[in-house]
Amino acid sequence: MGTLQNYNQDTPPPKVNLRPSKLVMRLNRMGAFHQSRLSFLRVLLRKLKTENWSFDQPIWRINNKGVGVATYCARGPDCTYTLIVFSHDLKDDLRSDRVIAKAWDATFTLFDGEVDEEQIIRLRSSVPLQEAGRISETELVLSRANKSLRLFSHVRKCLASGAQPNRSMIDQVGYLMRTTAVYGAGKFGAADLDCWGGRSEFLGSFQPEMLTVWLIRTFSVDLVEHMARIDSPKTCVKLDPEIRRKLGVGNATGLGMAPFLINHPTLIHSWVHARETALARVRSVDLANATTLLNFKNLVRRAKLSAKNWTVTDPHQIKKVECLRGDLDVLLEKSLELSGSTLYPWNILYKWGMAQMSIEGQEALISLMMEPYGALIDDLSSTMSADETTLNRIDGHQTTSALKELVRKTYDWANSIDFDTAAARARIWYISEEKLEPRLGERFEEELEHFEQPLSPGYDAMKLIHDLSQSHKCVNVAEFLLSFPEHRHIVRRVQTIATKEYAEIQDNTIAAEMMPTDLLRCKLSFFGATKFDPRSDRWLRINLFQHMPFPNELSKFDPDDMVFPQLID
Amino acid sequence: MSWSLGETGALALKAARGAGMTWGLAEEASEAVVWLQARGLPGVSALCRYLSWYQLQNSLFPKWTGILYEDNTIPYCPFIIGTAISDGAIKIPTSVNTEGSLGLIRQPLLLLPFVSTSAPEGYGLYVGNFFISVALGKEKLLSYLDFSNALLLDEAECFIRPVSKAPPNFELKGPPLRLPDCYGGCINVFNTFAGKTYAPSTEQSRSTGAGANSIDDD
Repeated sequence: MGTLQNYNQDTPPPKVNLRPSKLVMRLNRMGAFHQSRLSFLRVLLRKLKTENWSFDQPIWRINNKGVGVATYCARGPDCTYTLIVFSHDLKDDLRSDRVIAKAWDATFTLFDGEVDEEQIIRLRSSVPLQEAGRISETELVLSRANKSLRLFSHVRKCLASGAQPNRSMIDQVGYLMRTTAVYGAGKFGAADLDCWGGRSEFLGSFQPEMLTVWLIRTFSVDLVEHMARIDSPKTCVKLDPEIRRKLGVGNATGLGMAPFLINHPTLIHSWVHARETALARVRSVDLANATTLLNFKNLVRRAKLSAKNWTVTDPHQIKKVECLRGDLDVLLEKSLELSGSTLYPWNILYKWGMAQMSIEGQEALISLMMEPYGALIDDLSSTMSADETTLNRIDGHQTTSALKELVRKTYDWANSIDFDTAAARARIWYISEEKLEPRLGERFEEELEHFEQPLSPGYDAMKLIHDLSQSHKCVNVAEFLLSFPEHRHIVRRVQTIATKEYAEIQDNTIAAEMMPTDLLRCKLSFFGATKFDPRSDRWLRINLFQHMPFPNELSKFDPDDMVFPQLID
Repeated sequence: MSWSLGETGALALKAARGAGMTWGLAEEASEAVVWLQARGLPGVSALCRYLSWYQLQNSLFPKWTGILYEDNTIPYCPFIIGTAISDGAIKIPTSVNTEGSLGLIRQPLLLLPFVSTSAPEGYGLYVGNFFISVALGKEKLLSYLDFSNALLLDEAECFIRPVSKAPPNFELKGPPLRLPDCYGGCINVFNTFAGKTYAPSTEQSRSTGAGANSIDDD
């Protein structure tokens, strides 16, 4: 493996380019992305802290069965938002994370402003129905959550008896409630993104959704403490704040989220481009002072602790986590070789990591390297959005030969795939009639081609190349599309992403071996998720906001120093 | 009850696809509807009427081959002609002394977004003898005459002509960002067409959905 100096062969200053998309935009790497300073939940908490937002709970009308309504207000310099919670008494046999569920332990909406009784009455008739109900322009987000029965019961019982819950059980599960859907951006009648997208607190991506989940986390703890008080008012205690911070919000995510990365190429480019730019900036740092290096080494130790607590059952993920643990051990050793006089320390460490670590470890290293450099990279979070409200107009004047060249260049990775083989086209994306959600079928086993969604851009691009080669009479794209209108969507896509390096996943999204969980993990890492726990090849569980401060602690703590568990002396 | 423009556009896309349009054309239909509604024009109603007709008649449409047949008795698809305009396959007149004929068009209101974003300043779209809009430049719709029977004419000869002056009293108000309850019937029609893009559930599809055959309680 050698010393780090073996990886310092550049003549300083090193020329640090952004990593090429052919390296970054592969599913096996995207499926190894980790949260970072640029993740959306961290962007949100930084913003709320910087602007001194305040939080309160105006309504708590939850009865002794845990049923009722509660509200949580987040008050900023310009706007107030209210999470409205409807808490239900759900029979155990009705509890399901699947999208086909019709009832949940709690349902939520994020209201734009302060809420009054009239609004609560209106929303009580729709929010508990979720997809079957309708919300309005005063609501930004619709969500629901189920209890982690095992942990919720344990914590409730312990608190009622005056004891704190078992820490290892807390570490193992990590949340009292898990959301099973968080809908925003105009869905089910909610306010369009145009209505609130320009507000400073929501710059970036998915900020209202993150605020909702953070407040749900508070409710989950308030509820368990309330139930413990009901059980035994004389002996009950509150959760120890340190244990409480170990609780995040779980989330169960399935195929419904998977096509997002394919359907939003411009947005995905903005996310990955920001992350890659951050990496390049950090690699370009010439010297790191002793304090920064010490903080980094401690961070690696804390990341090791986090990896130790990352328990999964999926055999593929077990191997990845084991590799990560080994990688972090070696990373700690290597980071001890860095000193205040090491030139371009992060570039050296990065190069070493790319040569010596697993992909899981490499992506973890990248996130860790960004941690000390908030002043250098945090501004990039404001670039992590894209206006996708209007279609890119097709440039009909482009010559067909120029288009062909562009497709060849953009989709060179697809050229090596033999789409004539059954394995290369084994899968098919479609929408199920039952729950109107994306599903993944077997092309050659089911009658589904009529319902196929356009979620295989690589294959579509190769079909486009074929027909472009047959259309010698068409001089330009406008003429070509008159003869081949079926290519209109992929022509638009090719032209749209031409200048966007990270817009396209450079893998076959309909291949037999494709793992939808890779798509899910990529997106969720940008949310700030941790503890990825695949439960099959098409759904997983994660944790959001674990170790982060609660609203009443935000002024006391730096959320950017709380992603990883603290070291125990 | 009301609908956001975002969900309306998403539903219009599926409805257009369900009616038989290619994915690329369905994207254009969705975009056109949102463009119109955001400017206070009844794009949803126009697409709703159009899709029912399209499904039955689309095999009879004259194929647009680059030459307009102005004496056709069967109208053109507004999206085929609209995209031909926005792609540049149909040239917009650029001389003040010329006009462009677009032939007989079904639901001509649906053409307006394409003309408005492509026509140069000072040109308007005429539906029959009605003046519908003035395009003042990219993405800008200055005004329109509120002849309801012109806005929702089933079909009419359409032209792009220079406009000598803008019609008075047609200041556009702030864009309505939602569809009110009265559009419920159209939304139902969209849902019916969108349903044609959904695969009926089978035992196999249920068993391969995310979370199937797995324990999801912890």
